[in-house]
Amino acid sequence: MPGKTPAAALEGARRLEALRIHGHLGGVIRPHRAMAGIPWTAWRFVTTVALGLGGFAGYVALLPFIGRFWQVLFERGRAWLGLEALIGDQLLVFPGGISFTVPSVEATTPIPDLRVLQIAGLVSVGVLLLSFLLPQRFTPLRYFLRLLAIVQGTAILFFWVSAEPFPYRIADHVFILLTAGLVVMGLVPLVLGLTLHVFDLAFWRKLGLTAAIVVHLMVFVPLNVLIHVWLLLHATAVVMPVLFLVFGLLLNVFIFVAFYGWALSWTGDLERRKLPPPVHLG
Amino acid sequence: MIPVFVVLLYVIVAIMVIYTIRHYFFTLNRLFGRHRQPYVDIGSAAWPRVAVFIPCHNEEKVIGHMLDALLDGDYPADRLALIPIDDRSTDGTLRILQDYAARFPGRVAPFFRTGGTGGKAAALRDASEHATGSDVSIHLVFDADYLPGRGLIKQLVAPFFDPEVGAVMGRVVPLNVNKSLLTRLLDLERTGGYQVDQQARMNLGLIPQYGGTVGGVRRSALFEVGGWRDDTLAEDTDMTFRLVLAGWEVAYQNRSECYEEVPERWSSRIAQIKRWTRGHNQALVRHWWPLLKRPPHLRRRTVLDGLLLLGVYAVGPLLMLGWGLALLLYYLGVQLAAGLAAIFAVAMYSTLGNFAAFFEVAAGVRLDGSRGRVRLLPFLIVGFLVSLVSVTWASVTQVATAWRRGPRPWEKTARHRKPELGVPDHQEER
Repeated sequence: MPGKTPAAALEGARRLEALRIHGHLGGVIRPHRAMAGIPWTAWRFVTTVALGLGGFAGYVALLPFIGRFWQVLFERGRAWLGLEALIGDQLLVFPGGISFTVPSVEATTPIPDLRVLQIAGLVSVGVLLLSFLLPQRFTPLRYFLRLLAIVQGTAILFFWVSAEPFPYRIADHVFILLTAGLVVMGLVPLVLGLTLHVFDLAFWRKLGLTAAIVVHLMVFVPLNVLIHVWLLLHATAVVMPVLFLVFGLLLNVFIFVAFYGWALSWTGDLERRKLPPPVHLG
Repeated sequence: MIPVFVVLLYVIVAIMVIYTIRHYFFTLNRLFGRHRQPYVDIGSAAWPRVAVFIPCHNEEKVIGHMLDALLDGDYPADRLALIPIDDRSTDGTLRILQDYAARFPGRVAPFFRTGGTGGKAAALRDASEHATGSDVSIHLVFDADYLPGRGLIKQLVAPFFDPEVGAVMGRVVPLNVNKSLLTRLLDLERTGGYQVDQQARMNLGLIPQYGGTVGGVRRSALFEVGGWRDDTLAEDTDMTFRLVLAGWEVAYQNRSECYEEVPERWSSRIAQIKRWTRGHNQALVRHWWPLLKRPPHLRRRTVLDGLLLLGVYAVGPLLMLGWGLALLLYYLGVQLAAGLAAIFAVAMYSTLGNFAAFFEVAAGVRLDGSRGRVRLLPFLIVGFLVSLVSVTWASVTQVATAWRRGPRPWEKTARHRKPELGVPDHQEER
C-alpha cells in the first residue's frame, strides 16, 4: 500500500488474517474437518527427531540403572511375596555392545500332576461356561474369556498327552519377559516420534509423556513378572502359556496405547493459540 | 513338518508387516500430504437428473426420517427422483412409502419387489433396470437409516462432472455414538476408515472404495460393467473393482458427510461384519486375478493397493492361523531366530504392528477436532477381538459351504431407532 512501511504492511496483513479466522463471540473459524491437516514446521521436525532419537539415547544410557532398579525390586518382591526362589543376575548384551545385568530367578519349575491338571481343566470349563452365561452386552469379555479358556486348554492338553518335557523354565520365562519389556520401553521414544511428536502438542508434554510411559513400564514390567513367578510357583507351569501369551508382552503394548490415547486428548498448540488447523489442498 | 510351520508363520508375519506399513503410510499421508478434494467447490451447475435408491426391508423405524431429509435437500426437485425399494417388508414400510408417494407425486416413486432373490444387491439390480428413465444419468444409493444433510446430493453429484469418474463415495458418520461402548468403538473405527484411510487413497490416486451407501454410480458406467450383481453380499466392493478394472475412477468426498445408525448390539455388529466378510471374500475371489494381470490403465501401486484392499478380510483368518502356529511353535520350543534376536523381533512386531491401527484412528479423531473420545483407544482391542473371531468364522464357513449353489442369505442389520421419537440423539459433544 502506498505510503506504508513494509513493517506496517506486514502488521496490517497479519491483522487481516487474524480477522479472517475470527468467529462469532471471539471463536475461531476452523476449516471443515474434511480439509484439516497438521501443521509441519522446522521446529516440529527438530523436536520430533530430538525427542525420538534423544529419548532413545537417554533410555539406552539408563539401561544399567534400570537393571539395578529391577534387581532391587526383585529382591524386595521375593520377600513380599514369599517366593521360594533365588534372585540372581544375568548379563545382557544388546546390539552395539551395550551390556548390563538384569535380575534372574532360579527356582524349580513345578510341573503339574494329574490333580493340578484336573483343577485347571475344571477352572477352564468354568471360565468357558461363564462366557456363555454372560449377557450379550459383555460380548468382548465373553470372547476374551473363551480365548483364555482355549489357550489354557492347549496347555492342559500338552501336559496331559505330550511325551516331550515342557521346553521352558521359570528362569526362561522371566528372562524373555524382562528382555521384551526392555525392548518395548526402548521403542517408546521412537514410536512416539512417529506417531505423537508429529502432532502440535507442547514440547514439555511430549517429553513428559515419553518419560511417563518409560517410568510406568519400568515399574510395571518387573512387578508383573514377579506376579507371574508367584503364580507359576503356586499353580505350576500349566499357567505359563496363558501368562506368557496373554498377560506378558501384550499388556505392555496396551499400557503404551492407553497413554498414547490419553496424550492425544490433550489440547494442541493451535487450539490453545486459537488458530485453525492448516489445509493442505493439492 | 516344523520347517513348514515356521515358513508359513514367516509368510503370515510378512503379510502383516505389509499391512502395517500401509497403515503408517496412509496415516502420514493424510496428516501431511496434499489433499485431493477437487469437486467440493462446485455449487452451481447444470445439475443432471439423479435417481436416489433406498433399499428397504422392514425399515418403518427409519425410512420416514430418510425421505424427509432427502425431500428437504437443495437439489433441484425436478432433477431428483427418490426411489425407495420395498423388498417384501412385513412391517409398516409399505404403508409409509405409499403415503409419501401420494403426498409427493413425481418426487417419491417407490419400487415394490414381490419376488426374486432377496437382499440389497438384487433390489438395486431390479430397481435400476426398471424404475428409471433414460434421462437419469446418476444413480445414488443410501441405506434407509441414513440422514443426509441439505446439500449432500449436490456434493455427491459434483464429481460426476468429471467424465472419468464412475462412482463416488461420501463419508459415513455415526449418529448414535453415545449409546454404548460398541457404538463409541464403531465411531472410532469409522473415523479412521474414512477420515484417514479413504482420504489417503484419494490423495494418492489409489482405489477409494465405493461403500454402497452415501454414494453413487454413473448410470452409463453401471450398465457398461453389467449392472448390479445379485449373487454378491458386498455389491459395493464388487462394483468398485468392476469399475476400476473397466477404467473408471472412484472418487472419495471426505467433505460429503452423512449420518448413519451404527449397530448398538454386539449381535447386530457380528451379523454385519460376517456379511461384509463373505461379500468381500467373494470380491477377492472374483477380482484378484483380473487385477493382478494389471490392465494397461492401472499403475502398479494401484494394483498393489487393490489387492491389499481385496484381501483385507482374508487377513483375519490368516492372523488367527498365525496365532495358532505361534502357539504350536511355543509348545514345541521352536524359536524363529536365535536367542535375543527372536525376543527383539517379537517385541518390535507386537509394538509397531499393533500401534499402526491405533495411530490411524487417533490421527482421524485428532483431525476431526475432537479429543475426548480418543481416550477409548485401548478399548478398540476388544472390538478387534470380536471382529477377528467373526471374520474368521465367516470365512471358514464360507469356504466350507462353497460347494453349495444358489443365493446366499442376506442378513439385515437391526435398527434401533424409535420412530415416534423422531431422530434419536445428535452427535455427542466432540
